[in-house]
Amino acid sequence: MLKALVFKELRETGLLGLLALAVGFYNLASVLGYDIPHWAGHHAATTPFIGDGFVAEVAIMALFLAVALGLMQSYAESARGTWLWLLHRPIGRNRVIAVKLAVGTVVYVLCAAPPLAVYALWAATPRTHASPFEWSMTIDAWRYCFAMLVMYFAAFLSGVWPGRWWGARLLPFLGVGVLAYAGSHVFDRTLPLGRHWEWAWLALLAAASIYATLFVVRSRDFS
Amino acid sequence: MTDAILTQRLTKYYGRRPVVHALDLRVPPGAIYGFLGRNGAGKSTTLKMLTGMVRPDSGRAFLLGEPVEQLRPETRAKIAYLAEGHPLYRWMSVAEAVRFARPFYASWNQPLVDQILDHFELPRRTKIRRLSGGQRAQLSLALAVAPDPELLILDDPTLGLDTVVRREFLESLIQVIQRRGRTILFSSHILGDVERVADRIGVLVDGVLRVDCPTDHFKEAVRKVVLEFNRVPPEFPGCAGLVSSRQVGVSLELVVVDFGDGQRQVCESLEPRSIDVMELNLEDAFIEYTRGPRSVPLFTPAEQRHAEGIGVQGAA
Repeated sequence: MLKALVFKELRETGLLGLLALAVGFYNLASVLGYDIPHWAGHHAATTPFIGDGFVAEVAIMALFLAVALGLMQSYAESARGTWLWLLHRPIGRNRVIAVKLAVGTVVYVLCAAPPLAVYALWAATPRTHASPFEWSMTIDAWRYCFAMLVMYFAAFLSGVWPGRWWGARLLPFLGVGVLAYAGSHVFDRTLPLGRHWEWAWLALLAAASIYATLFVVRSRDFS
Repeated sequence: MTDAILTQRLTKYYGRRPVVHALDLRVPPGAIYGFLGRNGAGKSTTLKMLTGMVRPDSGRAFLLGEPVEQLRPETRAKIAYLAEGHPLYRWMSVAEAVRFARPFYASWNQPLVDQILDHFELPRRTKIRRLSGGQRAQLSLALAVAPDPELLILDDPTLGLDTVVRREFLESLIQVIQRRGRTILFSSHILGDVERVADRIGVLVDGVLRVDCPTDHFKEAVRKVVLEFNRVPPEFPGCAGLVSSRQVGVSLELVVVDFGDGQRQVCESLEPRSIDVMELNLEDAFIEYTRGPRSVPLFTPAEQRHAEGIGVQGAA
């Protein structure tokens, strides 16, 4: 039965994932110097991951992917009325949600990470660009990528949140967003090894969002 | 024998308004129970509480002997639920919907599914979004009965279907019902459907169960009594079992449950020119019973148990 659920989730999110992947590689192609139209103007990498705008673009695209993915897996079930069908299957609600989140995470990682990984590999390959490269230069990009995974969990939570209007529904998403942003600034400036603490903070927010999602789905009314 | 459905003072509020109020419902195994009520009476909310989709504010519900909030997956597999509007994944084809639902169940009667799909001529490759409302209902029914459930809970399954499709759907439902021991609870506001299928009915009025009795008994018990006068009719003083009274020209029209000697004496005391007692069909009885405000509830489930066969709720 888990296979059936996984297959359903992949079918529903696959197209979005492929689209995000295509946009990610298109953007990467522009950064790598291919002469193609680009929304931010043509920009080839000078020093990879630093000052090329790539990390910010990846973060924005990952955020779009995270929000769309989270809402597609949660709010769409409400809009279609299919929670009533799905949650009546003889399987615990926690397992249904766990499968959804697991598939969403995999789709997110498979669609958001490859352009980054390819860019890093390209940057690490000698004679591809005239600037130094250290793997540590990619950490910010990976951190943003992880932060947007947290926003995926938050978007999922907002999708199942039983608010009467969108403002109330978006409360969890905005809350997690504010906490993630605030955490990055506070830890970075006040603690030694602040960036490491930031990873832990993001992991904590992810865990809290998942726990809240499971709690909400167990306790809310589906009508 | 354990009741298929049992609720104890089940209550749900939306805001300050009780949508379902202290509902005591008992559906024995093998019963086909028609759950009636006007729009907004609380039928859907009740069924959603029974399936665990809505949490009651107070009271408890048991399905097949287990508390709803702790239903084991094995027990849930024995309960089919058709939600209102037959929500299904519209991007799936008919065959994909069957393939998706099947792995959730240990027992799955694929020949029966094929039989139902063939009977309704549902093309396997057609996407659900291309099916009509009636076809979606038919597919829902096929998916619901495939695991051979002991209990079916159907929320207005014929809502929005045209007459022909509704008849076909009900005939299939009757065939499905024929399996011995299967219990069906279905809500509807189409009385003809209920009359055709249900052997017992409950009528929910403003969230309160006002009637709970065999279908035939409800029809037999509710009578329309017309008192003709040569003058302006007097105010009706009231009697046991009075549902409503209204003046129409020089007549008084009463709706009375279990019209008998006592009520006749009250009528005769008004000295009418004539007294006509008329039977009502189920639809008329339902309309008379559910329309208009009533200051005093005629029956409560508690009274039903002590009424010794008197009153609509009294008979079993």
